[in-house]
Amino acid sequence: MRTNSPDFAIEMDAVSRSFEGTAALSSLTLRVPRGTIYGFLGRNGAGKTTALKIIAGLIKPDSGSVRVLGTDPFEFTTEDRQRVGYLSEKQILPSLMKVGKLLEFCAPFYPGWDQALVDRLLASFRIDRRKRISVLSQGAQRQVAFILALAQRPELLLLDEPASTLDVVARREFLDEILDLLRQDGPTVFLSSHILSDIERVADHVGILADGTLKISEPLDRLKDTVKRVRFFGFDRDPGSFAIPGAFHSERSGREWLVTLRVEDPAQLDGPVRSWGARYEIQDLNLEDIFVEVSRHQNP
Amino acid sequence: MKTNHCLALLKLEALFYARFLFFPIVFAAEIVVFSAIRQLDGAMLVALLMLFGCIVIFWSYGFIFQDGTMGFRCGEQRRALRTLEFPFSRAFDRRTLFGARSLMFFFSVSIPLVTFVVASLWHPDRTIEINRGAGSPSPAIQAYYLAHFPGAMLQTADATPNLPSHPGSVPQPHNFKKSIVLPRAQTELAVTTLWVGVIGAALYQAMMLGTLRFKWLQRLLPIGLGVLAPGAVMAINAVQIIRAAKQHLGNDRLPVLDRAQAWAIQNSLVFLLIGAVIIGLALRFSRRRFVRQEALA
Repeated sequence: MRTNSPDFAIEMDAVSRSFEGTAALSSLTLRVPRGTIYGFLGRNGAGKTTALKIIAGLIKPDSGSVRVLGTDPFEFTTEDRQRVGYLSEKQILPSLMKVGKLLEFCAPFYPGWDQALVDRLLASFRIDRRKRISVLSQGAQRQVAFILALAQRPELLLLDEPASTLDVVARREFLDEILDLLRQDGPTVFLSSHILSDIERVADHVGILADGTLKISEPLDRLKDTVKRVRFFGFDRDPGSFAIPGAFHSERSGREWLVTLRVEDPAQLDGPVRSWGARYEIQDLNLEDIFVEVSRHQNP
Repeated sequence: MKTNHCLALLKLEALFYARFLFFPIVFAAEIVVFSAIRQLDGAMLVALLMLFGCIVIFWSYGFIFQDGTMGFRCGEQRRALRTLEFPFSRAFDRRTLFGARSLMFFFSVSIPLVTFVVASLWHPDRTIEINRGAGSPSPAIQAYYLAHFPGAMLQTADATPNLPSHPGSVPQPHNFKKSIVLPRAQTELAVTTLWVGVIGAALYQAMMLGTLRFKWLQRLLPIGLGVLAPGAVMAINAVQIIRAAKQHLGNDRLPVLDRAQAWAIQNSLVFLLIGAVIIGLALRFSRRRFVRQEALA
């Protein structure tokens, strides 16, 4: 059944999935606005790949509901699949085929196939279309898989660790392509990556997954504007156990406390700090710092 | 467009399957050799097909199923053949993909069986020799053959050696050799085997797709194969021993396969219909399981 949700390309409600008794996702709720580049972050084993596979319709959730472009992805028709490009974490391409043959093979399945884009990307990535997939380097195979996902001109592009095997130059080219694509067509890009500097460069929304649940999901600018590290110091007396509700992380250092928390308005701290007889200092965090603070207590 | 997609997917599957046609071709060659020397009776055929079946299980499951199904380790190249992630994340129709994959599976399984049918056309009849001595079928069995195989007939041939005579030599006594000729019985055996093989392949495919739900069953399968494969090799040796023993110890029991073949010939319509129903149901179940399959690898 198709339900129209014009605002969101991806909607997940209380989605759980486990494998042989081990929970990969626990009641994950996620909304990805249309036309955004959504950076999906999480440590190894956080459940990113499972979430992406569910969104791509490759596996089913044990419970909860998923809507991708208004449709349950496990019920995707071929027409639905034409609208969703997917690059998996360990994309294994038909290794016996030559690059050109593989692209030619896939083209007829997609009415929106952009051959000009294919030619441009092959040249840009310096990939010889006469070579077999099996003789390409890991990075080049990844680039071919990326071209396949992009050439269909999807409405939604799902990228699982797309740049993990690319060198710095290839990664930069790849990011430029994503930005170009967004400028031209405005598709939604859902991107998971360990390389936070990449996410910071391209994403406008960010979600941080830890222990199978989404800890944070919001525009990147807002995240960086509001999640701060606050140094509490100059206590009149030993603060003992110091707890601030909603803090992502607290750490004691001598008579000081470093607390990572959301600070919508610095004035919100004035009252409590006065009652503790302390002073505070707000420090800005970059995305990597925020990610570490939010996900450092995830169960390995 | 739809036809083009079917052809494209069939071509893709054929490309993957090409290297795995080695085993069916080897078995087809064996069947040709055994047929040429007229040693391919039912028991030998069963033993050969048992061995072939074991190898089919090893080599084919990956084409229908995905990496890790049975816990086997494999390299990237093989994973590329097995994984469902690539085809399932493309705009390929899963039903069409199943059709192409399944067609290639049946094609490869059928190679030795169709070869047997073709080879049997060179020697379509079966001859059962009746000697007075040991190893000869009993009169009751002879009667069974004559009654249950259409066109079966007793044949007497003069097997006296044609030695050159010279003055004073004693004339050789005539040596008449009796046999029962079963017209087209070898071809009928081959066709029956082909039909049973196709039914077996359909059931095997359904079983494998069914076991994807149950990890414990997937783990049991390799253990089962560990017993079946040596069992098949031993069966081949046993057939040779039994055959030799029969030459010396009388033959008063009708082989089970001959009895089964006689039943299949006499009830060919029922046999065809039951087979068709089984194949239809098995394919329907397999396709449904495949279409609803998760790409876990």
